[in-house]
Amino acid sequence: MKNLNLTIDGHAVTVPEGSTVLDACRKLAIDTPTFCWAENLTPVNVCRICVVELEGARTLIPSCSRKAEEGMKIRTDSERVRLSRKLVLELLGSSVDMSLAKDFAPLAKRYDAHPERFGPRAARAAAGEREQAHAGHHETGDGQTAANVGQPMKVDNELFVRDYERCMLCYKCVEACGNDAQNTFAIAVAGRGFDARIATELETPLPDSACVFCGNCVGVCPTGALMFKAESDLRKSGGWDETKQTETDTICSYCGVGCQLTLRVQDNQIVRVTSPSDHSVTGGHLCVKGRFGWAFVQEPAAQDKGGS
Amino acid sequence: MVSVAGKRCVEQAFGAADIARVEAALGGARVAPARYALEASGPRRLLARAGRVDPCSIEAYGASGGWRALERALVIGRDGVIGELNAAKLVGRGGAAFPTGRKWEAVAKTPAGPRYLVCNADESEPGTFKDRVLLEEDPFALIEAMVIGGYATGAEQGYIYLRGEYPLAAERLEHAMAQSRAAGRLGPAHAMKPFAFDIELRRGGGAYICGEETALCASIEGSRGEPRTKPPFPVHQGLFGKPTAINNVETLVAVLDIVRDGAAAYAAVGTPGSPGTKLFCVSGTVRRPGVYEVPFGTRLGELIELAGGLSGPAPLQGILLGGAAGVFVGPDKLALPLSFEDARAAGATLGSGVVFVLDESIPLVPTLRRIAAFFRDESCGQCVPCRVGTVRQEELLARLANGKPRGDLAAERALLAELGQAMRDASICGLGQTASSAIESALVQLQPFVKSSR
Amino acid sequence: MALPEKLVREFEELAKKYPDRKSALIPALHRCQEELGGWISPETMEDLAAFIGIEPVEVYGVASFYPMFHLKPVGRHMVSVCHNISCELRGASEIMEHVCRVTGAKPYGTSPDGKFTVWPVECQGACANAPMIDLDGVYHEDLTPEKVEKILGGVK
Repeated sequence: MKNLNLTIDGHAVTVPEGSTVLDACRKLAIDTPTFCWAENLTPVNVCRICVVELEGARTLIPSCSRKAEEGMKIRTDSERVRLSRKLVLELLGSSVDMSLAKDFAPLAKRYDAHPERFGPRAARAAAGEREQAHAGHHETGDGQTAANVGQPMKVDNELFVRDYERCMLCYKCVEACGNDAQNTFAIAVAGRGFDARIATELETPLPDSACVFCGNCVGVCPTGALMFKAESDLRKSGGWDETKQTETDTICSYCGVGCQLTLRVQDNQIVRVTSPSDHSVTGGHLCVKGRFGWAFVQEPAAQDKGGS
Repeated sequence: MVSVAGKRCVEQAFGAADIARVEAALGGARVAPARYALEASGPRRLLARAGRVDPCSIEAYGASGGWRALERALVIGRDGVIGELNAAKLVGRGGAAFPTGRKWEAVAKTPAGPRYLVCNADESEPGTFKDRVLLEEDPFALIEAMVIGGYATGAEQGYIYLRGEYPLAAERLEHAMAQSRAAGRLGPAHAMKPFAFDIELRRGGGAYICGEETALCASIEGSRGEPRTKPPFPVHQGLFGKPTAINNVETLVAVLDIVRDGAAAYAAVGTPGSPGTKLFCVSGTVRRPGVYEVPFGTRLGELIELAGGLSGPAPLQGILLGGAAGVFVGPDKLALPLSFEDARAAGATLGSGVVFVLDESIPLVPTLRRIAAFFRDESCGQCVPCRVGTVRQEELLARLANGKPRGDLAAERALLAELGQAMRDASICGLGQTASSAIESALVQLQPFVKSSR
Repeated sequence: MALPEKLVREFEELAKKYPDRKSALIPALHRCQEELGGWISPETMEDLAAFIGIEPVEVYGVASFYPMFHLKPVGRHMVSVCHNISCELRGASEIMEHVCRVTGAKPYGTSPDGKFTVWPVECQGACANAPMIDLDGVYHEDLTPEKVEKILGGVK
């Protein structure tokens, strides 16, 4: 395979053809933030936090999707890059609840982002209100408060919740539900602009939709908008405590495929099930049984026998 | 007031007196709306037929010089056509000003077919109506130009992506395509000799973003009109993932004059950097709003004079050049020659040819708020800088308009400057990249929040 | 409910033209809206999804992107009122008020008698003859409140 030579922040780096600029940055251990990128999904380059400056280009470029080219000269920490990253953080922080997005707080510090510059948050929408928006229409306010995607959590099944005031519209769940993993196509982005949202067919509750509850959307969500109900309930009751949690790797016992599971456990209860995104069998994705079919483990009888 | 019989019976209030037009209308032929000015200060090229020749008659089209460019194209060959476009320095008239010859050449040379030629007729830039005039009044010209484009690029299928809100244009294009097929000017190879080329008309759904070329492709493919990152460019991977040339209506119609008469004749007017003529859509507070064809290099003030000058006694306040995605300039720019190079040097843009004139009697702030609301409404919502940035920009303007800034005016302007820079630098496509340019330029050039009268 | 036979035949012809049937979706949505009461009902979305071979949510995602597609019932006549810069400068707000008064509908709403839906729209390319409305696909330009009265008053 052909190799390509780039210069990033003054350092020479060589990557194989087909690599992205992000791959090249990471090869040099340049810490490049991402939200909508994931190694097991097709890059959609929508969050724009990974932008870098390419010499000769009119605008910044998304490092996550831009293929490396011979001779590229890249800067990852220029004033322009820092400004755009700061604004992306502020725009996200002022419109979405990013408090559970794990990289958000340190990034906000690193880029000196202050979402409150755009004013106090506007009141959240009532249940179902955002879904009524017609593309191309919005009510203009007085600008004294910052519009946001605040709305009540959608709880319509026992397996996972949808807390869309945490949704930054990274498209990961749609990709995981569709072409990139599950091929179920139960959800899509509907609406447009600031009213764009993740929707089921006609906003129908999940159990009535095409959803097969594989939970792969939950697995890829970067902001906690999609969350195991077990975790959500614990957080609501104030019982969520990461210091009391452990992770245990195992193999799913249902069929012969051999999916690796990582069980997150608190107080002897499973609160989350994932699979490593670099696992050769799963690529990070599971089915409903592996993801959610563990209640039996926690039956008192099973626990007595297993002595877990 | 003249009544014109046609499929739709229309009453027409004629603007500037034009005997030929009135006579033609009285004669019953379906000519010009002429409800607005359709004038030229130099050679009448793009507007050669609009308003003068029946747009529903292929015979009238042929009798008025139609199909001669196509005939010459077949004589000079594919390379000859592209050579003429390059020599004439033809660049896109939709706003981005990319060299047309290079675009066609790239499509022709990309090996993986089939190739496509798409006419971007999604004219939606606020203040723009030049393409509507060409589509409604000279539909055969667009068809002839697309056939030449198909020949030069090796595309066998063309699409016209017409904005959904132009029903009369749709009707006239369908009619012109049917007549052209019947006359062997459009269709399969055996009918057209020596190559096949057909066109399908596709109607948009009212989304401004679909004028962005990758969003346009997504829309034809049946998807949400969300722009795709470039590269890959459409010339390599466009519609259905295949090499695609996407050209604006006016660009394609300009091809006819260049191919028929040659690049040298085309460059007889215009500037060395921008040869030929350009359509401008003049509206706002001028006496005779309309579409004006002027040679590149015509001064902004001359164009406004051509449109009858200001309509009222109030002095000129400013001019929005290039549409909502363009910039405001002040009265000090009346001497600006309208060419791509001069506009660029002045930090302005010709964009889609919008010249929206505001005199001092018009409050500027509502216009700015409307532009901000427009971008918020038309953002596709994909990328963060545009989806949220356009909302924050509108909120900021609302605060200024209500006299309740966060901090003071200077603080709000500094915040807008940062926001604008991030939208320009980090948005996926041209919508977000230009969403703040008119507003930022207005604040700098026209100072609407400083003069208390506004 | 199923799509009328006439439309299905039309869409089959259309779908043949493209490498992927999904390309027929937007023309099909336009035709359904024209033929089936001026809006896209949930049943229509399901029928189109089945016709194309995609999930209904994908049709919903696409239809809800384009302002011209109405996902709720509309009146028998659609009055689109341009409210962009050129029209606004020449009195579009007054025209809008008048349209609402004459029709009894609010912007983005339908009159109580179900006759009119009034929809504010972006620039329609009629800037030289602003202000304007589009009534059921026909432009009316250089409007005054009196003209609005006459035009809408004549609608059956």
